Amino acid sequence: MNTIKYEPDLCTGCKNCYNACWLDVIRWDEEAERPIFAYPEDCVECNFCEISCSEHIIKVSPDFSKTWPETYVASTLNKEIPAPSETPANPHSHPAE
Amino acid sequence: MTSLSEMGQTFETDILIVGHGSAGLCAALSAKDANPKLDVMTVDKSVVGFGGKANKGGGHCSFIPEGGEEAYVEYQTRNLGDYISEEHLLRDYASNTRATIERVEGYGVQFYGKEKPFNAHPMIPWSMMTVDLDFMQVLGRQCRRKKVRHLEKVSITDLLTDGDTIVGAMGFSMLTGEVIIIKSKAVIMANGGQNWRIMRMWSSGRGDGIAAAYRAGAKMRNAEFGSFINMISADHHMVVYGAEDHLYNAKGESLTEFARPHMKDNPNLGALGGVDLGGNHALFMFWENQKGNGPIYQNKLENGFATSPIGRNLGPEIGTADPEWFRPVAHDFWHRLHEKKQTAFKNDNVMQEILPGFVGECGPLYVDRSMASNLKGLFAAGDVCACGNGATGAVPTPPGRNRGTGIMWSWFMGLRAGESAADYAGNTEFGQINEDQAEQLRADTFAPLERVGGLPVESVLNELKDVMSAIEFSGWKHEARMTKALDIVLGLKAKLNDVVAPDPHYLMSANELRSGVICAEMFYRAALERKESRGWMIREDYPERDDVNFRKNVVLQDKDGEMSVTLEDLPIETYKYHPDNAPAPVAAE
Repeated sequence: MNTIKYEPDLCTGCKNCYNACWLDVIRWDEEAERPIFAYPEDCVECNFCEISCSEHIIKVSPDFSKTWPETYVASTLNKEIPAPSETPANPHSHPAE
Repeated sequence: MTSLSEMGQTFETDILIVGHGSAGLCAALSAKDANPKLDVMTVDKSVVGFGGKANKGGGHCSFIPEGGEEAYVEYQTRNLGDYISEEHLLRDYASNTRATIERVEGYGVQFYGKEKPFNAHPMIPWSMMTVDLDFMQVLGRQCRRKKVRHLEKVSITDLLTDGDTIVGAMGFSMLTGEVIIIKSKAVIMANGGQNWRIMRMWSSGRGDGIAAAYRAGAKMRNAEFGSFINMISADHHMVVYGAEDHLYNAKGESLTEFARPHMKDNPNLGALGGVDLGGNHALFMFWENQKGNGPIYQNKLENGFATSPIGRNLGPEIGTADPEWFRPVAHDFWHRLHEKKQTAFKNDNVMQEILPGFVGECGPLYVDRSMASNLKGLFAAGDVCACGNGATGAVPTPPGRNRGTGIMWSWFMGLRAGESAADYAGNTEFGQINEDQAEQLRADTFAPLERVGGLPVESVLNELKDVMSAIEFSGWKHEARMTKALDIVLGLKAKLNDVVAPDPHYLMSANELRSGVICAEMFYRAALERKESRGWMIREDYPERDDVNFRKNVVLQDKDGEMSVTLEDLPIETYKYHPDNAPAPVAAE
């Protein structure tokens, strides 16, 4: 999963990172006035917490090794499906035109 | 019976707007403009200014210059909408882009490139400016000035109804898990389309509004066209702009040149698969793989999009935009994305592996020209209804896939929905919330939180991603494969009964998963019904367009817990553009 780090000693408690995180990854410790990176597994590296941080002290490091869904053939779901043809017809040949 | 106040926190407002992204904020401002006496409240999972999709992209804003309106309507209908565009709404839009810009500018949003907009289309009058990616914060400040109220960090899960009339909405606080019940005269659904969480940042649409409206009895249409597929790097899984024009198979043969003659003889095939974002490149990649010619690569030296004037000014990944186009937030956003992508490449090879990245963009909630749904008091705006409004026909949302239309359509729909809802709410009394209905909906939504032991959200979500992402199912469609995909989706639907959520954050995810499964069922049921190829929906078993039987909409609706599928006639006798009055095709250059 992505890693999110910041420098607590330099944080001013502006709450911008919490406000910017549209996925609820970042929660806010009201008492300490500091962010809590509560759900990093849901971070999608939009970087809006970095962009919004008034002190530029947040760093999101994307995890590029995350598993990715099937792109061409859903081999993990089922193999008992007819194979697509190898020589497709022109998908946009519209005789009417 | 549990009273509403015992069940959770209750609110009352004249107009509730679910989703405070670009469309929702415009709807709120528009409703206040139309009737300042009405109380208007927005509710979202995010904080105002950061919700939705519009700040995670190019910030492009296309408009139609004066005199070009009808040329746009004809081009869109014939070339993209493939003759099922709802021409009247499309014409409304074409006639309103400049007025919409003036209205949004009046709310304080700054436009870049306004002095000399790009002439951004080779076929039709089509100009482009940009806004910076903090424009929703500007709209948010304007909302506060107009006394619009906001509820943040709240997931809305269901609409409350009295027969076919909307009387409010309910959900829960993501922070505390407390039930939230909002009584309202009108609801504007503006919380995005469905992207099935595949393309990470680009998949901000979680489809909660589609699912809530569907469960309440709202009509859906054009769900089968939600199959937008972009080009992504196999190394970092982010979008590689311009790759479409420089694709090669493993033998070194140019895929792009092979694809060109198949693209409807349309010479509009420049960067990004054409300004209109052609959807067929992913199919050519798929076919090459099936022939054993994969993987597919881009030649990175040939792809000069990022450093081109258009690339620098519209998606500034590298270098600096021209002064009149320089946007501070967009510059920061795109540069950070680019810098992080560079750390992911496994080698320095000129040929970089490219994959099809399924974005989806399914937005099937039906609305008419006034942005009203079939349910009294339910209106919609933005991606949630961008396919369902029918205007742009056989395409995914953002409507039409013309570059720069997403934001413009969100404003146009938002402004119109706000006015319509204000008119309705100004002449309507509050309805009565049925406590039994609210309690049943609460129990359904909260079941994953109260369940002991079961499936984590992620395990079911990963299977859902696979069944939507695989091109053999969702891109290159076929009866047998889609039937299989639908079976898998229905299996996932059954698994929802075993999903567990340890806290309110995961309860939000569980609800998003439920929304994703419903939308996947819509997508495959509608695509199975459309036995032809039209627009972005391409079938192996029905490769031709069938205007006799399918110049119609596929309509989905909940009927006693089952998803009904019907074909709906279009008022084509009132339309101007038809297949039999098409001009001769323009020869490719």
